Amino acid sequence: MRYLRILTLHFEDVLQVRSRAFVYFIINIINPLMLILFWQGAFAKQSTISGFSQTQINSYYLLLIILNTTLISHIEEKIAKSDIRSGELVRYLTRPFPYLLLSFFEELPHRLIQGLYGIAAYMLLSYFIAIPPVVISSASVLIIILAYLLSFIIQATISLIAFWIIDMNGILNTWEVVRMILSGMMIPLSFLPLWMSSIAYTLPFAYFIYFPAITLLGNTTSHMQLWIIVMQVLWIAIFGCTYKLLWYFGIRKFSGVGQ
Amino acid sequence: MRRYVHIYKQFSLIGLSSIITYRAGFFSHLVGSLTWGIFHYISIFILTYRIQSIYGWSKAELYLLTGTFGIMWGLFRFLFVKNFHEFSRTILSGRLDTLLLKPIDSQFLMSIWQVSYDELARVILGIAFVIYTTISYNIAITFTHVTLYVLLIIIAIISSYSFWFLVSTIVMWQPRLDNVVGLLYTTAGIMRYPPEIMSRFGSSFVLLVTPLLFVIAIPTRAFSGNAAVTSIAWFMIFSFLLFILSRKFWKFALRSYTSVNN
Amino acid sequence: MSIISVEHLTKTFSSYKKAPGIAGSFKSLFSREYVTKYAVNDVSFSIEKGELIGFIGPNGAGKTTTLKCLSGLIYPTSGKVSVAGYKPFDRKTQFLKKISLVMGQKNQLWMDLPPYESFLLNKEIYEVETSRFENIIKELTELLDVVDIMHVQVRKLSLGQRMKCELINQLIHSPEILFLDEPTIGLDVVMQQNLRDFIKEYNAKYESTILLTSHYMEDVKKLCKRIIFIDQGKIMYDGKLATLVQKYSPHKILTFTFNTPITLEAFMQFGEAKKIGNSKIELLVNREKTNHVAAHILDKFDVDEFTVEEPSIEDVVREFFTASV
Repeated sequence: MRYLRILTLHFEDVLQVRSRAFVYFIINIINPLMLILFWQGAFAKQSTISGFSQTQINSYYLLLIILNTTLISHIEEKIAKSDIRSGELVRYLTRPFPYLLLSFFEELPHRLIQGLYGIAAYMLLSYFIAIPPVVISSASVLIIILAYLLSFIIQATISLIAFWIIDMNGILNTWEVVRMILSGMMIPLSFLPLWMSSIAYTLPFAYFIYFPAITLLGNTTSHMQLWIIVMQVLWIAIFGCTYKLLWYFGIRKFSGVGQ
Repeated sequence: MRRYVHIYKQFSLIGLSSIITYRAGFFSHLVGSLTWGIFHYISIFILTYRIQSIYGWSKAELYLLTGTFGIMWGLFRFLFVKNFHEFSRTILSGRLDTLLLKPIDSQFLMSIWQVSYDELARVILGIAFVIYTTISYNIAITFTHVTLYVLLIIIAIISSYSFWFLVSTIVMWQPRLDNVVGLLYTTAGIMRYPPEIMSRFGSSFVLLVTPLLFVIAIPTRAFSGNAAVTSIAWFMIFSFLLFILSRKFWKFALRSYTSVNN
Repeated sequence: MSIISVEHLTKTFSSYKKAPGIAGSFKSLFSREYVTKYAVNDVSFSIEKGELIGFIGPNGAGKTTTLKCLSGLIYPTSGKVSVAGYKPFDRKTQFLKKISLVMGQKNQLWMDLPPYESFLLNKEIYEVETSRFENIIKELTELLDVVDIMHVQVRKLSLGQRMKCELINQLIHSPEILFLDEPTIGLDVVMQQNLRDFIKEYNAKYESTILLTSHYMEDVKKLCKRIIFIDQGKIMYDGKLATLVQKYSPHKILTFTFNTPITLEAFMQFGEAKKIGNSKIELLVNREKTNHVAAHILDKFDVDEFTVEEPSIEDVVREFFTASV
């Protein structure tokens, strides 16, 4: 099957750059670990903060190691920088295969390998840091899969801005910062001031990190899970349409210039 | 020494000229560095929103820590970020060849040939935030403290630079490890936290493994007059040794530099 | 006393092999097989002050590696190298001020700035006095005919103009020894000629020692009396260009013009034959048999004109390379 073939080829590529993958992974565990240590200081004085006990907060950040590595798509590097800006896109346009799907397969091995590292680190660290067991149910699995799709389609859509803007660094940096705060990568969203958390619950970011994390922690009711899934599907649909629209106009501009 | 100043001046001028050539790129980077600067202030705000103090650091002190980080980190990036960013490319593309042929110190050339003016935005943000915190939390400061603070920030830059250079030099053997630089930038983030968060690992461990934790904490403590003389002395010696080490290691690494085949 | 002396220079590199396919990728995660390659293998030569030497050989022969050892860029695995009385790898300031390495494929000029700005930077780096700097720039820009483009962004210059500016940039400190690695690569014929003239003039005027590598035999032929021929890391020949041809070409070229039309087949027995026009033939004949063949043909055919030539260097070198590969 050709999907499998494309996937294995990309796996080879990933393994070839083993050292790079490992360094990226280290980056992904330092921040959560620092935050676990930070909150330790706060729990010296109180036993719960915004409904989180110390073990739950530990568990939250350890889960972030897996979620950050698996669910945060970095496809913008490829789409915006290498394909659109330097014109590599031309190579893909001539292939009988949708570009979005190809990018998806190119990205997936990276996420899976990083995810494996993440799970290994999680298991290792859980020996040293007391945490409650993770709740795995069909709902939580579905939420995680949807979370990845959402993260991927959002990043892919944002990348298409590169059709119109030459230097994306400013936009991508700002985007990353907003995502970091509003997705729950810094802090559980319930710790935020009320006005900020209500914004965060409405925007898509929370649906690929924060809500999957608290579902795995067992902090969501089945009613809430349903609401999370509905919101995820809704946001995927919104970004899917935006992607199509931007692609439609962008590709005209791209071929118009004759890059 | 004067010659090095002249050369540096020439590089700074070249940096200014390229801003004019690439106005859009400059603006984009400016937005990026402002965003990250602002991010640090937002994150300390949300981290301390539901607590009053942590590890003996009050909210105001944590704010000062973040502001000081902004100043020091902004200056560091202003001077070195592009050079470290291009470190592995310089080696891989063979540009190092041309640097090595110049009759001046190769570590100097490797470290300073590009200046990032946009990063000064972070410095300004940091200074503003430190002033804001000092005023709104009524922190008493003296002239001596501020002078010491400035001096210690300079030493902080030297020690961070040496550490960065040491780690970047590894690229000489493993050119594809160029994202160690990315790793270092995340590591830099730990400077924003109180060093005491590592206290559970024992103090000797802290001294050995995470000296970077003190790089910002010591100047910050000096600012509000809380720094111990011993820790300041230790910090200075440590920075000096690290700098010497970075030079030795670079010289050693050049021996195994194989250059690039055309 | 030679200005450059190289004794038993050897430089090895090691690299790892990756087996093909996903299994190979997995394998290379855990163990990698390293291969040692000799880039330069026991090379010795010496060069006198003021010489202009051509360094030739096929791709990957070790020319650039040797130049890099001589300029102190890479550390030799073994052997002794002395350039202007210094050990290159020590990279002493005084040594570096005496040499210059120009690489045709690499440009050190700042692309976004006019060449003059890059010159100013090198002025500071090499500590050239202002008056001296101005004289050199004036002289070199006039010689190379680039006075008008001193204040144009390098990005907007042609390849040839960039190369000329690059040369000036590398000559600001008046180096005693100049290493030129493929200086004419990618340039058009006229520009190549310009650069050659310049190199020759520079060598004569400043008595600088120049070591030149090039793919173009024309460069070497026009510029160098002496050549060093390197292949697979070893010196195959070191001496006069003319002697190389005699030594390494086993053939001579005999050309006959006849008074009557001839057929090609009649000459096949003597060597490689090529018919030019109706009555002219070119024969590639084994060196030792030349006299015999010439006498035979003069005797048997109605010859109008007859010449004996050495083959061109290009042919010799091409033959040499195909034989040694």
